[in-house]
Amino acid sequence: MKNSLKVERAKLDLTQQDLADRVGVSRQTINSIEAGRYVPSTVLAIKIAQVFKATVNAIFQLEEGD
Amino acid sequence: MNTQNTPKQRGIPNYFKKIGLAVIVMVVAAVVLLKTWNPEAAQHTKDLFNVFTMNVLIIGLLLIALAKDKVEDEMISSIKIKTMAFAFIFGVLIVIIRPIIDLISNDPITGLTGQEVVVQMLVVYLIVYYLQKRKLR
Repeated sequence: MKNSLKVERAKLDLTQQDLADRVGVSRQTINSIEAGRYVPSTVLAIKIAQVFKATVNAIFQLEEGD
Repeated sequence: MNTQNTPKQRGIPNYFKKIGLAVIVMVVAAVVLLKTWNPEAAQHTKDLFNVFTMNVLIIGLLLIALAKDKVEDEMISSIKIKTMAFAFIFGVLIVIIRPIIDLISNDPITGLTGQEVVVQMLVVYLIVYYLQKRKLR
């Protein structure tokens, strides 16, 4: 699964730590999601989407093979 | 920072890691002391001591394994679950492979005790878990 987390974060000028604090996870978790090493739960995906005032689909997209 | 992302994060408080570590240090110290002070102890006493120390060692390792991290979120929980599965499979393989290794190396075939298997599984769990966490930095 790919995501546009880094781009969305840049638009709001948020650091990984800022976003992590807002959604209640560690900075390492945000870093892993951005790098595609970890796929967040539905709850976390919705929380992240809410921070960017976007839909989950706008931030997380399925890739071929998912 | 709210790190309670999932409804229920299982585990015991973080300070139990220090308690577990202290328990392990005490067990190791007790073993060293007994070996140096009383190397000629009766076999029955040695057996009793071995059983006791292994049980306490298991408790110490279990406390470290079950203690929550300072920041415990869903990714850490996911890593813990995967690592537990790995440690379980490792334990099963050790039980199967150990007698074969004894057979190949012409040693007497000795079955592993439950305590030995559990200690090995917990040690593997902790090593793999901390290696996984190190990769996240």
